[in-house]
Amino acid sequence: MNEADSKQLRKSERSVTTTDQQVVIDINVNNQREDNGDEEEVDEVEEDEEDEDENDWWESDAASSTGSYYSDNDSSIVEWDSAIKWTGEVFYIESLPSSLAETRDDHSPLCREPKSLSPELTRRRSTRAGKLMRLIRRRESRRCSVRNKKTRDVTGEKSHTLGANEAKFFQRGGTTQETTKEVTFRDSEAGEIKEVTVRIDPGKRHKMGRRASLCEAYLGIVPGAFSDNIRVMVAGFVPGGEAIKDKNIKIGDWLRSMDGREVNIENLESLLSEILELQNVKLELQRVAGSEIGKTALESNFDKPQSPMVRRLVSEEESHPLMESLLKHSVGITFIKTTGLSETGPELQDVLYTFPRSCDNSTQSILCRARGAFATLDHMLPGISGPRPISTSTWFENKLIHISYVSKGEELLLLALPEKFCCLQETLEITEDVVRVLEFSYRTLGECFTPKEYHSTLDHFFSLLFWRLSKESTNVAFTNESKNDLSYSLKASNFHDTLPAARFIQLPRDAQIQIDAALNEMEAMDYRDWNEDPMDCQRLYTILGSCLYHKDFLLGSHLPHQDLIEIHSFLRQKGLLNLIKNEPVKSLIVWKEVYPLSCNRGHLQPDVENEKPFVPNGKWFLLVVGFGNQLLAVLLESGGCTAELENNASPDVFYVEEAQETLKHVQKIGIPTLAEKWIAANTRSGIELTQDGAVNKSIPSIAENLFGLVKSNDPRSTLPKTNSVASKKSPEVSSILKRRSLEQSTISTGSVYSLQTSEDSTSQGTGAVSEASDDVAPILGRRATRERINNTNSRQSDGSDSDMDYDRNESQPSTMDITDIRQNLLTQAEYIVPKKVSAGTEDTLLHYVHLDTLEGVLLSSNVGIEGSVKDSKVLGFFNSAARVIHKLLQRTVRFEKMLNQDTDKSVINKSLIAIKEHGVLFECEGDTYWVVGRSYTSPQPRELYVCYRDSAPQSLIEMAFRLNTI
Amino acid sequence: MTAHVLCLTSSGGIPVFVRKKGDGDMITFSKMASLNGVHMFLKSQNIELLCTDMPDTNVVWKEFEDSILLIAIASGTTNNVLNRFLEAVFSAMILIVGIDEIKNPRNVERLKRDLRVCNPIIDRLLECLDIGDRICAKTDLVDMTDSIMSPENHLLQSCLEGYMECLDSLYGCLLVHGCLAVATESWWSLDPIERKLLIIAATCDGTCTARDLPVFLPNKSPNVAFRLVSVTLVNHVEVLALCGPTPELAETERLAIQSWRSSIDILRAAEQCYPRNFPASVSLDSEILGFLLANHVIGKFVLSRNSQNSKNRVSGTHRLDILRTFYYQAVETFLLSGPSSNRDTEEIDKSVKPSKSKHGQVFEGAKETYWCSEFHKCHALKEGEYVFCVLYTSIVPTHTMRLLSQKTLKSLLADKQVFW
Repeated sequence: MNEADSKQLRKSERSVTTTDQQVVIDINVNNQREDNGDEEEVDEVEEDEEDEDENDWWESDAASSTGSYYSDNDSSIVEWDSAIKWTGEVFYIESLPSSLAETRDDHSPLCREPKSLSPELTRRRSTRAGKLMRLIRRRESRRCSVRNKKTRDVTGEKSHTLGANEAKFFQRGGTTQETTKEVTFRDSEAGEIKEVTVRIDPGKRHKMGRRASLCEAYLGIVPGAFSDNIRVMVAGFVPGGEAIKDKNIKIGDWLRSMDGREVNIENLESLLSEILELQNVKLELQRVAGSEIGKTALESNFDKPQSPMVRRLVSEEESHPLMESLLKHSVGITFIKTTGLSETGPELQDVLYTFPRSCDNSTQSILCRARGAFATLDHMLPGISGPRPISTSTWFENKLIHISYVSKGEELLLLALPEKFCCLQETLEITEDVVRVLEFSYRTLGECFTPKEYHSTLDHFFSLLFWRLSKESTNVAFTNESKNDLSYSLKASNFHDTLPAARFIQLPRDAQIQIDAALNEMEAMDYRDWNEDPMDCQRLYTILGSCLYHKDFLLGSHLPHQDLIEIHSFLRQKGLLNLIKNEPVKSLIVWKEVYPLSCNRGHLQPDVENEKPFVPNGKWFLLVVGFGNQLLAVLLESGGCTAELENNASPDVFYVEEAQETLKHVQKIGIPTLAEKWIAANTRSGIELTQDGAVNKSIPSIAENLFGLVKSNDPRSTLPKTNSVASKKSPEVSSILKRRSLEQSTISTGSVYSLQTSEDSTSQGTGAVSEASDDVAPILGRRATRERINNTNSRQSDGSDSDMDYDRNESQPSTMDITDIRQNLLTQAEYIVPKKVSAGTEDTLLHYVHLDTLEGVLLSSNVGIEGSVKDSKVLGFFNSAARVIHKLLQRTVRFEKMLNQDTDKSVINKSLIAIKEHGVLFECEGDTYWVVGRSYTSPQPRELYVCYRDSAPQSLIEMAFRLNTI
Repeated sequence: MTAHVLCLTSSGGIPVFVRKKGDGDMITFSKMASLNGVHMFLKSQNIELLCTDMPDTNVVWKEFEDSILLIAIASGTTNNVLNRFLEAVFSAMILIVGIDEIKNPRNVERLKRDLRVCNPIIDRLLECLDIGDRICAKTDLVDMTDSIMSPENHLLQSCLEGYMECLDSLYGCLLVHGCLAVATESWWSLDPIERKLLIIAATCDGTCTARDLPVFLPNKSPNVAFRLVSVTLVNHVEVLALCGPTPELAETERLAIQSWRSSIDILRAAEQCYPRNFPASVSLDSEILGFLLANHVIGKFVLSRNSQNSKNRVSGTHRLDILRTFYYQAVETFLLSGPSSNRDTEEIDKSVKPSKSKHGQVFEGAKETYWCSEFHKCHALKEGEYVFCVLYTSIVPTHTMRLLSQKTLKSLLADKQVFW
């Protein structure tokens, strides 16, 4: 038990409003609150016993398979619980200890990742008993958080489990231990000495469970030791204990003496055991750490050993020095109101928010000082030429600075970035992205910047943003200088990094199905089989959709595209994608109330024009859980059929756990390994072509080719599949695995998915559903996703869906084990061959980016970072050129969106309006390359950028169309 | 659809002139004051305001010699072009009144009056902007000499040199329909903007057959005026010369008749070349609607439309407009942005802050670029100092464009008689 648990209690003290009534959760009903009135004692004792029994049973059960998973999980809940802010938001990240020791650029995440994760991978969906236990377990923690007002007794049971796990808990070298270390690190003899009187009732001794220490039972303090192993530290509180009620006792305090007698590790228990009757004990405590450890979520996070990157993301305090250092750069963001100002008001009366600024507000950024000019331009220019300005370029201290405008009614947001950080086009894209995140998080810019209490969070957000940009640009400068003396300024930042689209990778179909199934199962929230009794409680949230990331790649999304784009921007700008791309995390939980555009940003008035769904009193929450290199983002909706939420709702343990379980399930079936392999297989070490064996081998004779086609009898095999055939070296074509590898390596056109390819789907007799030509593209809409719910799950689907009844009748409890899935997927991973898009013996396609602006998804080839100088030159050219082409193509798109009457008024250059394709040929060290961008309008707006060698036999069109079919 | 250029004194913000092209309203005085005020305020903060972009319109501020602020507002074009346009406008002011008068105006009212002569020149410069309307009379580029490839240029060249000897001048050129046919070597040594402005000044008013204008050369001689003398030889063909105090206009006319009398037929033939602008000996493929051949080092270009298929639905001028837009938007962005081109290095030598006017990336090594739109295709090819932009019909396959462009460029440059 550590301090986090006590946080949980304290927090829920706030949230539970019924002070006089005992709140108990019925053992069989999740989330239900019953008023038990006077019967509480009896009821509880019974329950405790029951829990204890089942718990024992569980422990033994769990021990056989996965060891200490649940205790571990339990502790992780407790830990993030401490990170809940008053608004209910959670931003909790714990870095993996391994990533602390290792340098960040670990080159073999592939090998390390499965090892470090395997103990965490739990038995999920394997037996019903396990699930039931999980539920109970979960309920227990929930109950603990809900009824805390008077029921100190329940903590007895709670701390009983703690006692059981205690030894492990402190040895684990995990969080608790490290908390101690961190605190001892700063300990000093000096500090404020406090005297606290605690009432001790020896009668409670046994209520705390047999294994609880006396210190926990009597004082309610979880003891710990300082580095000298003599002095006693307050390492945590027992919920409902005496100590927690006294605000003077803080975690990290040194427990000096008790009734005037010196206390150390050895004599603590014996001193306490001398207390035999009810009495008051005077404790003397001394602060040792300078700051109040554990006072806020941030600090308690900060105390844990975190990697520098995590610390930067989590700690708002760290942003202050950063902010001041940014003052000397010409960056800035300022939010001003443009009306209602008086002539005689104070100087900064119009400034609602500005960044960076010095602590005492005396120094502002250059942008803030010059804001009047931009406000004037924003106000005046529409009078001359119609639309509002979007950007201004200025010259300041020998630097070119771009300022972008976002005007919202009477308020104006200005963002300034120097050219050396990013070019004008990027500045505009970043601005758009930032505004999207802010509106997603706070509904409107006004609501975001006006309340003063958000300012520290915003400071943190923007310092991270600017820090990231400045770091990127300095990195570029550095590599340019060291590698080759590039006199010209090609930006190395990727073209697709600022686009409003998530980078998608397409795993083999079986893996896709597994991912979809896992997400579906979570989204369906079908918990009826957990219990025989009907669930008569109301759900708290509906899940609107979810998406799964591996590193910064999107693996699957069940979100409407607008939400996906917003969530992607959120993850990107909060630095989360960057984090999991670079290092695995031990735990990551983010909870935030959000205002999705698809739900009309939660405005109360229904948007009749756009016919967006209107949910009265709807609230939306984004839950992001992360583990290892993977992130799962879930969009939850409260409103309509769900139970009413309190204000500033903090995450519900149940949903968080469900998301975590889903993520862990995905990891357990080997998706990360598969994704890593996929990425590795599709990444070239450099774009320069090496005539390696793989390419040569993959050129079979035409006869062999045809033979392969006939044999596999694949309806889609209209194109010569050089690679796939080559991978099929062994003669056993009949092997399902072989055939599967063949299928998944082809560029599928999304037609009928053959039955035999997936054992698991057929074994359940529900393969028919998967057969129904579901494309690999993410299925949108909750209704649609449900159709495939039975596909590969061992669990039955919600039978109330009428069209599912036939499935239900014939589906039997599956015997398929999770390890089989993993085995299957990983075997497939062996057969992953690089996707080859261009035809011909020589691969002339160097790089491509396929941007689907409607879905917010882009596909792109990977290029390894350790490429040659020439590679980076070519890529740099590609990125810059693609940006220019993108701008031009966007103009066409914009014009097409205009209504007819608007086109006459528009001042758009008529020569530019119908351009569909733009190409540039350039020469780089003797070779010539094309960069071509093309836009498609039907069936949905898409853009495709390719970089290929000039020697390509005019295969652009063919390449383009083949890419399209992916 | 509208382009404005405003000129104010930077000390007092007094408007000197306002010109506009297109169908928009005149900029009101208060708007002008605000535009100037914003620039002045930022200057007090040590920030130099360069430009502001709206979705389709750009505003560019540029201050010259700490005394004149020029502001351009135009839609459909790029900041790069607007910057060069403002430089050209300021040069036009020097051309008329000299640099001293601009730096230390004795009287702003007088300066205003003197600069009224500039207005037709500035209007012609505004025509060079690419503002996306289809009604401009002549397609022209801001800082390049519009020229013509007449079939017997070498003969004209020797005639011109003889005439210049008579005039005792180094700087002279022959214009056919306002397009330069031949010029003396020294003429090419003038700054591109100077050449452009001299030709514009000489052709602004097409009614007279001979003229004598005092001009300052913005780069070569901003303080001492020369005489720009022009004499019409046959219809639409005139000869320009920069002279000192002598000879008088009547004398130059006499000398012109004397020198050119024998070449009247050649001049007529050259005149017939317009608007094809290149010799009939070269035939264009029927897929080609028009082309723009530019020498970006010297700063001259030939713009031509293929008369073979004039029935095409893209009307004549609009067709060339597309090429100009293509040149400004794509060719300048990609092919002419590299540090290799001589004009840029000159610019770097000249101006203290070279990169200021050049935003965005530099694309080194770019050789070709193309556009495909629904109605037409454009392709540009850079070969040495030449940039060759061709407008094709939309039916031509993308890769065929390349071959056609290369073939056509070769045949155009191969003709030694053209002497371009």
